[in-house]
Amino acid sequence: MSKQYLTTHTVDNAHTTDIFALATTSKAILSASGSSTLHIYDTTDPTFPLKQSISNAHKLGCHHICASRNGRVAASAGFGGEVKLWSYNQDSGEWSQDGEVSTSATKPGEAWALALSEDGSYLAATTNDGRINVWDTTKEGKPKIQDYETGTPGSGSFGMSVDLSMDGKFTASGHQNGAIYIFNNDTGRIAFSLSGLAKPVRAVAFSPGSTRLAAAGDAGIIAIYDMKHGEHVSNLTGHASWITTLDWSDSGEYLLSGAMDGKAKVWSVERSTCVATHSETDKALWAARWLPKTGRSEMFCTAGANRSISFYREATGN
Amino acid sequence: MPQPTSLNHPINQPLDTVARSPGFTTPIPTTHTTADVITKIETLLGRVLDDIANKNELCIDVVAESRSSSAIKFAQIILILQLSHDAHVANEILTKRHIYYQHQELFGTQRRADDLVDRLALTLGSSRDDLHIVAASKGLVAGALKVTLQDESIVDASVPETGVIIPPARTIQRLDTSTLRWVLVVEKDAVFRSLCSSRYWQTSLCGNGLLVTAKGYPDDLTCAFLRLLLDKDQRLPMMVLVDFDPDGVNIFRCYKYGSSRQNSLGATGVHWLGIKSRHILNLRGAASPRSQQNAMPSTAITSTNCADPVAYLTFRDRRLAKGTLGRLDTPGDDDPQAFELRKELQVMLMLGTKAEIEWLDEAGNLATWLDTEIAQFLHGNVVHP
Repeated sequence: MSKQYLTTHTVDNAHTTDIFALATTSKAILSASGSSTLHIYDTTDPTFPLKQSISNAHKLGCHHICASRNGRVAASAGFGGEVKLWSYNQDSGEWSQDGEVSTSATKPGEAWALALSEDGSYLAATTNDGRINVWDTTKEGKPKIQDYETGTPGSGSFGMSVDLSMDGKFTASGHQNGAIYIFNNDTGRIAFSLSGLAKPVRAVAFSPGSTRLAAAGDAGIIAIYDMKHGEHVSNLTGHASWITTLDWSDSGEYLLSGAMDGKAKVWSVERSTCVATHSETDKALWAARWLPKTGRSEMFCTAGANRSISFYREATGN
Repeated sequence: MPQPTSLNHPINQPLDTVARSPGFTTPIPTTHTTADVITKIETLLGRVLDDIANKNELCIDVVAESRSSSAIKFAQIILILQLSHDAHVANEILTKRHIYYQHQELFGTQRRADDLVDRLALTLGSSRDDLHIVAASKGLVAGALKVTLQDESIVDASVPETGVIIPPARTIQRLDTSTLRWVLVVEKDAVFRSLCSSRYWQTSLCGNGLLVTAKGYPDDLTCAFLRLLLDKDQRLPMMVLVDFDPDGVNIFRCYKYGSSRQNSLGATGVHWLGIKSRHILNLRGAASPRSQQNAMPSTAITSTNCADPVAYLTFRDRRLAKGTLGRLDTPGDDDPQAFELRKELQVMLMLGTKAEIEWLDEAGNLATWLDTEIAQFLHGNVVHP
């Protein structure tokens, strides 16, 4: 049985250059691109109007942006190496900068991929030499509290992706050499070293219940791992090009993926099958995200090299 | 008032007596700045001679450097001034390479010799060319071009199989570009030689062209030569082909916008043919007349069917990409090529991969690719009748 998703809206020319990242909250989408401006689109309005623009957020452009699940904290990383934190003001409905985490400016790639914990208290970022730094965003000066190593110091493989589990227990990282590491945040040690992909891992994502990890990249395969024992439990196959982005639905039933050939796919995790494929464009997709479920229909959005944000709604055929 | 010092560093050779091996210089015409530079050098040397005669402390202030009290450095400077003066009077040109090699014990490294030449040029308020000292040319050129030098000899770039060394711009009297329809500057020597051996400049579907390489980052002589071509014909399409990597983007940036020595080819003079991300991300060849010859269809580098090994960005690559992004970031800049360069660097960082020009060759035929890309470029520009 397949699912039907309809293209409900496209924000054309959402940015003046390629869009590299999206973050979603219950009310908005935050988008980042090669320009220095971050945009916020209102998802409570069916026309998804531009609600706020933050100029000069990242001088050399922005490659990653993420938001906490509770929608109050966001973080973004620029090509210049800076990482900024943003907080949402519920009264004004606007985002404003809430400081910066201290990264070594002399090491580009010192902060590449980003992830925030469920309530935004912790921020994780990957580095050029394969480490994962974790900061406490709630304390004065936003101190670094963890520095996970994946190789002998200075020699790890470039960290391409990172995620924090919703229950706060694990940090996952994907690397250029195909390695995937799971760190136990309570003990500060590696819990699992996962194999199976052998090519750059561009996306890792914990399921909402924190029991599964999905990982994908240049192999074109989505690998699913069990977090109880670190076992490789299944593969989702069907993409013909590098997978750049992954996102779990709220229920954990479905996985959304986006690829370099412009194709977005929805997968049934339980049945390990692709239930929908969409390609509004044949250009690279750098981001695909579910919108938090607020009505009867599930929705997701995609963005990438065509500079538009496309919205898809599940067709309720019943 | 310091005590006069004894002569601890006498000049070993009197002026005008330095012997030179025959043939290492090229006769050139006197320019209107020659007399000025000669006068400046003679004034400077005269002051040194006066100091010697009066037993004063010997010193020469050099721009951007504290007063030199090093005997070796002093000797280095005097030697360069002397060689420059002699080259001027004899109407000849020296190369920096020659200065170093003839006096290696004195300078120690080529870089030190080069640095002093540049500092002296600044001190005298001249360019290095005005000192009659030039960088040795590493550029090569091959194709439909005849160069008449000032001595009336002719360099025909179409004859040698592997191209000819680019002559210094100031030795060139005339360029015959009558049959020339395009210029392609290639980053790598290996690609240049490959295109020469297949005589691509002649067999190209886009007409007769000129192939140029500076073997990596552009040197002053190659840039000066390219500027001469553009001065002769501002509509001459000039394209640069570099690897898809941060060095490639930076090499093109140096051609177009200049490096620290301001040898830019100008805002409109030179264009980036590739390699760009679209060349490795999309299927290619379908539109090309020669595509029928290819046994296999081309494959995007991001396809899971792509069997070619992928090269990944290194730490140095990422650092260079960030630095180049910074140099290209000009607020209010509406230069579409600067915009494109920034976007390509960003996409390169997102991909985390790089690709060599040879990757195109392996995936198909470089000539086929070039025919398509050059034709597309020419179609978007004024083409010669």
